[in-house]
Amino acid sequence: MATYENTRYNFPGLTLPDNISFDTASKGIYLGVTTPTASNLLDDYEEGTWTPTVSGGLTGFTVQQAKYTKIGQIVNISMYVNALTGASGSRVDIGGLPFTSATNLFGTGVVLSGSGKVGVVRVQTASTTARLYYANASTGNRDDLTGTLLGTQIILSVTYQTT
Amino acid sequence: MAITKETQIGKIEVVGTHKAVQVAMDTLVKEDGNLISQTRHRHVLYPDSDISNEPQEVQNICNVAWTQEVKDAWTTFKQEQENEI
Repeated sequence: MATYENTRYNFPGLTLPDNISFDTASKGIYLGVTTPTASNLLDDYEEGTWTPTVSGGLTGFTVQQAKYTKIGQIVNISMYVNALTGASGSRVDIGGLPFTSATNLFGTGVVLSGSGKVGVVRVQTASTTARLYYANASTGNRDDLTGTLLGTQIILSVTYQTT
Repeated sequence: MAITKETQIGKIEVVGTHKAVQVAMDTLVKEDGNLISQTRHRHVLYPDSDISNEPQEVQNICNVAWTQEVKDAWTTFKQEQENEI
């Protein structure tokens, strides 16, 4: 097998017949620069599934789908659950996020409930838990999105920063 | 033509101040030994997580990373988060 090290080629509009892979993990591509810098290195992409858990205002639900995509240090998660059980007047927290969040940063996203209530999601710092809130129509302040306010399903999407 | 399915550890990472252990489990589907599908499922373990059902390799890493000091710091941190508005 031929090896090419520190070799410069000029192939305008290069087309490859297959995917690119590297001999070792955590290697990537420097994007948008001519001199490699760490902040321009795209060396992490991953997609998969995760298992949502619940605490607070619900005792359980049926997971229809829960997926994630990670690009660099940014994670986007999506989740659709239904058949909610054990609804109470406490705030609903969703756990089991696929990556722990960065310290001193909070992820945010949107949640749609089966009752029609629209809310916001906050991923806690250094955590795999997301809290559900909604904007109180009277005060404009954040209130807890409780189990009794959710109806039969939860749909959410959140983006957050990992370590 | 034989279809087989196997699950294996894809990655174990210890991250952050609280030594969270991020585990990626890969499910591989093969036809006559040739990989035809691969999916990844992730979960994260913290110093107070139940790891008794985790693979031994994961348990070993958790037990090394989670010193009593780490566990105490995690307990304190969780309490602070609970008290947060």
